[in-house]
Amino acid sequence: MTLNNSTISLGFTEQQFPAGVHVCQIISDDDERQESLLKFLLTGLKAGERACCFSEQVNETILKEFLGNYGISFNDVIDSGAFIFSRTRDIYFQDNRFDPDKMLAMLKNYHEESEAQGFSAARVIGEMLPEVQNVPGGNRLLEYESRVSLLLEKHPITAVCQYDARQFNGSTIMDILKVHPWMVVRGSVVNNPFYITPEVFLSTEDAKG
Amino acid sequence: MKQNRSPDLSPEILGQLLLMQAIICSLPDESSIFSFTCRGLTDLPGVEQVRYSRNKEEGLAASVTRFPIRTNDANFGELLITVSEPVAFTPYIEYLKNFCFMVAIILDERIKKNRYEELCTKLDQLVRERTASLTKSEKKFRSIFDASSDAIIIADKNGSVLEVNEAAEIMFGYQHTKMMHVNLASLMPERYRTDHLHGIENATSKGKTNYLNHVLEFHGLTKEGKEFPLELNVATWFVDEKQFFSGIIRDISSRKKAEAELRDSEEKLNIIFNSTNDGILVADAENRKFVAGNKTICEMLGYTLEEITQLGVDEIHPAESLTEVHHQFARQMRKEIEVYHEAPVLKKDRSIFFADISATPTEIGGKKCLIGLFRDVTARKEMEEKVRQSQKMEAIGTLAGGIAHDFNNILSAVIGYSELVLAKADSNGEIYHYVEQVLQAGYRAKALVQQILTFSRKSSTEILPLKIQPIVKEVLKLLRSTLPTTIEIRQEIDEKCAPINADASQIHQIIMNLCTNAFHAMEETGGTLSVILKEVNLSTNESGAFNLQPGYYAKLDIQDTGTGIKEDVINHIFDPYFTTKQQGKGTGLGLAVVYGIIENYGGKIVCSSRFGAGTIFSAFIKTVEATPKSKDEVQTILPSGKEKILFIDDEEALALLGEKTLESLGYSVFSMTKSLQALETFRAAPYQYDLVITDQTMPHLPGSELAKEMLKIRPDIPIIVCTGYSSIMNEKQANSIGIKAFLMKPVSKEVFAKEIRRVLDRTFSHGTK
Repeated sequence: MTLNNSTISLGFTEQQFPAGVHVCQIISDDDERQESLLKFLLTGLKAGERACCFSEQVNETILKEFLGNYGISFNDVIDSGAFIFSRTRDIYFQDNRFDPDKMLAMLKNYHEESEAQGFSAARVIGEMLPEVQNVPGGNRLLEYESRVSLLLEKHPITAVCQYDARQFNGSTIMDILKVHPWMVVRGSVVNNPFYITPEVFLSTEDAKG
Repeated sequence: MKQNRSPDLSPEILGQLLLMQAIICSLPDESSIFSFTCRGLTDLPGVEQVRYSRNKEEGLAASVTRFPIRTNDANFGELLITVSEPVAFTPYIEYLKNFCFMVAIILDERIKKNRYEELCTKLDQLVRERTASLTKSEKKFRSIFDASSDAIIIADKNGSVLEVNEAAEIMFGYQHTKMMHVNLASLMPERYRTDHLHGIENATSKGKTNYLNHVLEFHGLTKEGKEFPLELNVATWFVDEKQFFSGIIRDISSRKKAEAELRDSEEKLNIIFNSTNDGILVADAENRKFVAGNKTICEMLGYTLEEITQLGVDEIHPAESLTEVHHQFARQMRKEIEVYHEAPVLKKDRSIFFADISATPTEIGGKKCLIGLFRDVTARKEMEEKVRQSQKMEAIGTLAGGIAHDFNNILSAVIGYSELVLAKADSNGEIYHYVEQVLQAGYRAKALVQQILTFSRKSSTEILPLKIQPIVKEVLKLLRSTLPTTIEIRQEIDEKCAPINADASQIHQIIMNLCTNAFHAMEETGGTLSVILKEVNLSTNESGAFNLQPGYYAKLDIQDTGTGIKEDVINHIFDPYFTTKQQGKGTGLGLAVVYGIIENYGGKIVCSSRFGAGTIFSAFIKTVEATPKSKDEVQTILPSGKEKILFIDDEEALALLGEKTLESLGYSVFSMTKSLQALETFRAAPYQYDLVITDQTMPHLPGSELAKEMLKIRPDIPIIVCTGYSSIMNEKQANSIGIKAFLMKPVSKEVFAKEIRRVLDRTFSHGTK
């Protein structure tokens, strides 16, 4: 495996982190969301990492223009497999249901592939849609997020989960905080004091949806 | 999710509170915030339940603690925390209060922010509406700006053009883009640029200039360098402390042209107004004061134009005529009449002339006026008077002609028989002396008749080129022997003076009359009579003064140092029958005859006199180049002959007189008194006579008809006709029917002798008898 233990940059903060951090970003405006997303991807691609993005808010045109401004051809990185871009729905709600196991398998596979293909690291950023609460399997969202933290311990994918505070109610946001060890607070990534380790969380009633 | 909590403050819990506080900022609404908060605070040590209440709830359990969420300004309800373990919870109470206060602040600020955003939205809306309104307004302004027929130019404080409308582009001949940033100075001729720059400088440095908010007139300059007159209105304004100028420019070429045409028209009207020979006055119909007048009326009245405009109708007409004048004025205003004939007009010097006033009512500047054209008809009136006088003279002439015939026949007998007596009487005897007086009286009577006929143009004259120097000398020689020695005669005769076309006897009469008048003027006091003859060349100006054609004239001056002529008389001295002489010394015809003769020659006589200082008469008669007929010396020996003469006169005395007179000249004379008998006698033996002399006025067969019949019988017979006066026969007519001579009675022996000899000699020289 070529993935190393050196620190990485998330792009939207100057802090350095070990690969495999699981970060929650509660967003409340579109510019913040897009800026964080693009910087995160750009930093990874420039660092020779493999990057993956699941979003409904950015599209190929925006990505092409942004990456192009930094000398990175969207088509090239797509073709080379260095960059994977997909709409959130197409990934999270395949068959119109949310399947945490499938998602976790996919993440595992993504990391292994990246490793196999010689990328220095792998990162993923995805925005969860509020409709997750209404699709089958949606009640397993907190379980999923908690298990991601577990997965990343073995497969250190640097993951940023974006939640739009305007689309989830406050108690849900609080629950989501509890399954992410890192939080983006006003541009900085901090340890989440609400975080409950997967070992604890997955044993609670909350984890069962 | 209950955990055993240490009663001590947990940094983790405090961190949660801080994190919650941070995340609350990202949550969209109160509902989300309080569900988030309640969810998060449930994890606090000793807390069993957390709920949010918008309104203050009453009757809470003792385990429930209230945490108001409020600021000084706003109340957002309260958190109701059910505490199960007070000991564990108590250390966080103050933190919770702060937390709640912070939430209240966040909510308050959010409300304020929302309000602010609403205001911003409203403001944005207002700005959009205002912008749309401004856009519309600007569009409207732009369309007005572009549609204006006046050029509009906007420039900065340096005079650099920032905006122009289409009219400006057309007016100055620039394309829009090329006119941008052109300096205003280049849109005007060089001569205006210094003033323009001073104006801009004053407006920018002192904030004012005379040019602002005034309409200026000067010239613009097109791109092609063509000047045109314009009218400019300049304004200045400030935007963000930057100064701008706007100019509205109107091309006034057409107006200027119209003004020039109007001025030209006014000038022309003024010229016409002032060049007409008629005086023009414009009177206000209401107060009848004059509001305008032309140059001619000033000359006519003797006032200046300023004086005239102070006058009215009442001041230019005699007081006694004013009633009539105003009556006619009113009639002219009503257009009842056009001309007020022969209105008496009073001049400044109080003299009066007569004028025909043609008037037209009109309106000038809203005032009713009467425009009057004054034509001075004084001369016409005088002429009419002269015509009347002339007609009177014509009547006198006819009368004179009528009596002249009989009177001349009488004089013929008186003079003829006196001459016969003198020829036979002893020149030293008493009888000779008496008859001589009779003869002199006859001559004076003859001269008087001649004067009457001359005056009435009834006498026949012989107008031929004539040198008048010998006649002047002859008259002066005669005068010297008759005038007293108290009168000195001075003569100055230019021998080089060219001849004139005149009758010698009339010239003689002119000189004699004028000199006689001069003598009478000096008779009592004595003095000098000067007679000067010279030839003068009258220029156009000089001749114009005498109403003559320019050229050479014989000028005869007859001057005395006598009493002179009074001013009120001098204008009448040439009138017939006008005399200032005492009874018996003048007929009143002398100067009238002189005047008539000279006028008949196309000449002029003028008189200059000062009462008490003498008089000078100057006669101008045009000179000619033809050789004058010799009016030479008086023959002392009368011509005579032996020829046979048939003499006819219906008056027996005259027939006998003619017979005796002609016999005394050597001729054989057969006299007859009946013209018909005379014709038969001649018919019987036409070649028995060498000459026929016949009276003209005879019963049954007048002299001219007798002559015609005789000429039919014998065409070469020379015939002389004598007449006292005939209105149907003169010398020219006589000649035309073959009569060789035409003599006016009374015919002196000398005239008979000369004419008979002349006629016979001419007949002989033509080889006929």
